Amino acid sequence: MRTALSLPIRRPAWPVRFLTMARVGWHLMTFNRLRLMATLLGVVFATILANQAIGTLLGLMDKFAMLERHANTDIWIVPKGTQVLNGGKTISLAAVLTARGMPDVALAMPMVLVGGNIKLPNGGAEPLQIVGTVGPEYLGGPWNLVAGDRRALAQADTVIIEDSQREEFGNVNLGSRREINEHLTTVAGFTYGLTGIGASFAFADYDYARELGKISPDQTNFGLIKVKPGADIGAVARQLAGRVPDATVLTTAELDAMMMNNLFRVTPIGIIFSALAAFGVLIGFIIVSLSIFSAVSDNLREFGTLKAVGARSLDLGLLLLAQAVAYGVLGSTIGLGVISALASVMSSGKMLILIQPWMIGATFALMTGMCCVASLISLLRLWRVEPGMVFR
Amino acid sequence: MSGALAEVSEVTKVYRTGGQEFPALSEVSLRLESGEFSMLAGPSGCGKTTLLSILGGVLRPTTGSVSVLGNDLSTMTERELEDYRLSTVGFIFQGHNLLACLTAEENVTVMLELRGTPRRRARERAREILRRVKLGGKEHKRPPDLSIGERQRVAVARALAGDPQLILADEPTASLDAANGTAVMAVLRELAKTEGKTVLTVTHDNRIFHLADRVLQMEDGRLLVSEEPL
Ligand SMILES: Nc1ncnc2c1ncn2[C@@H]1O[C@H](COP(=O)(O)OP(=O)(O)OP(=O)(O)O)[C@@H](O)[C@H]1O
Ligand SMILES: [Mg+2]
Repeated sequence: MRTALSLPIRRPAWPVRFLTMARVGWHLMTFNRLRLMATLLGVVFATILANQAIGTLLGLMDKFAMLERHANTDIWIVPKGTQVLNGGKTISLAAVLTARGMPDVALAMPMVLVGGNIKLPNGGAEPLQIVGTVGPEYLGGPWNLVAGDRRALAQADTVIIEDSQREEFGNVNLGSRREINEHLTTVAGFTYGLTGIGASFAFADYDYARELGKISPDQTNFGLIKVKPGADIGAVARQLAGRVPDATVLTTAELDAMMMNNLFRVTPIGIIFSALAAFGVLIGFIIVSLSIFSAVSDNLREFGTLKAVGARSLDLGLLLLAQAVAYGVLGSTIGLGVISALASVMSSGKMLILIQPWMIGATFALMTGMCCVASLISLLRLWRVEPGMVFR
Repeated sequence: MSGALAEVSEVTKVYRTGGQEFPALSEVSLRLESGEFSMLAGPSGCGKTTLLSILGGVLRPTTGSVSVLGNDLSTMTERELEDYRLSTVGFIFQGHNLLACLTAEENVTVMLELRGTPRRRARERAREILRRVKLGGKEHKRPPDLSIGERQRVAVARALAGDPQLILADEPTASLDAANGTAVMAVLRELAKTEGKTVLTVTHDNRIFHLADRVLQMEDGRLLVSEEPL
């Protein structure tokens, strides 16, 4: 039988212990500036590479689904067998009219997407994708105008083209005239950043675009539908699908999922950019693990001393945890600052690094998690420190 | 001011490394009284640090028992030993073992915070103890910016901070000159005499033996008959 211990001790509550150890941890990590920078470099590197990869992937996804995502519409009628919006096939215009007759439909408009050629002053030619939409709503675009007005499309034989393509099209200005598909056309405005994958987009009035693409008046490429406020989009889509058996009806979300599925299935970009992001995190992880481990190894005597005087292994764990959080938060902040600057420098009308708000939160969480995992190896080392070592 | 604070009975310590056994202590028995200032001397390798480590609860004896303030160390769990060290023992190491990244004041404050003293009070007390070891005005210096003697005094301050009953020092004056060494020993002696602490310090320096109540001589893992100071 043991007699009860009479040790005059009550350890403080966990938050207090954490704060105490966090303070020591902070001094430990800032004492050696060079190593602090090396550790932060790992986190910064991982943050930049991961965000750049994901941002570029998101940018590509956005370009791939550009028309669909920016069309500001709820439901699409597309030709049967459609995988991506490329305008190759047509549907009957009657399908759009059918939709227009439904009670919950606010707006139903056709849209054509036809291939085009713009003749350059030097005799060459550049390809275009011409989008034809119906005014005055112009459901389906153009958007993001930097010059001119989309109402100008109501004038005969006009187009709005992409600002970042002006040079390629032979220094086009507002009012410039170019031959597009053998029709002399006036440039009435410019959009910015509307270069999808492949040829850049140009926008024309519906009938003019149909004429340029030689599509007969009773046919169209797509139907775009906006439902009335409060109406159930899915229900309207299902109802409409029953009435237009020769076409496919999809909500915008369904269409987007289908296009993304197609993008990731037929191209390796998903794998490439995910691998790139993972690679960045892995390299960062290795750098951070090594420098935390070397810091712990160098300070073994200090840790042993803390243990000898009565700190518990868990206290040392709290110290490492506090350091990991500090590394994660500091490194993420710096890395996100750099990648934001980089994104705005590198993004152009043709290329886009999309840094979305959720990525900021995800970066902080991921990097802090990464630093915590990196600390685990060192924690195992600390756990085995015997306090007796400090006497030797 | 008397009564046994610590009792070591027939303690043996055998180190095992790589299949080899090395007996570092054999059947050591020792009684330390409250308020006693004693020194432990003997040739290198005779087991002084081992005995100190066992008394301090950082090492377990192979056989025998150690009891401090009525608590039997040999039956304590690891956690209880940690509590014992934090509450009852003040360590002074040969190499001072301060945290180089912390100021003198913070080195002491951390000890107190570990023991649950609120930060504000811990800092006040740390400054007070530093003044006591004549380091007033140097609270905000880090160990690398202090002289070796000053560092050792910070280590003394840290050991005193938690008001421990038992103070164990392993050659605290080895790296100090005579004046600094005597100053550190004087502080330790005063602690024993005015506050009834039990102080056991390892030393090779026979010039300071006269400060001790008792000098314990060790040889080959055995405690020779203790001698009174000259
Ligand atoms: N962890 C260990 N493993 C194996 N042998 C050890 C260990 N620690 C100490 N020893 C051995 O035990 C003996 C006693 O060691 P100890 O450190 O107690 O001696 P000491 O009297 O403090 O010597 P010094 O005056 O040199 O500090 C020595 O021979 C030493 O080599
Ligand atoms: Mg020794």
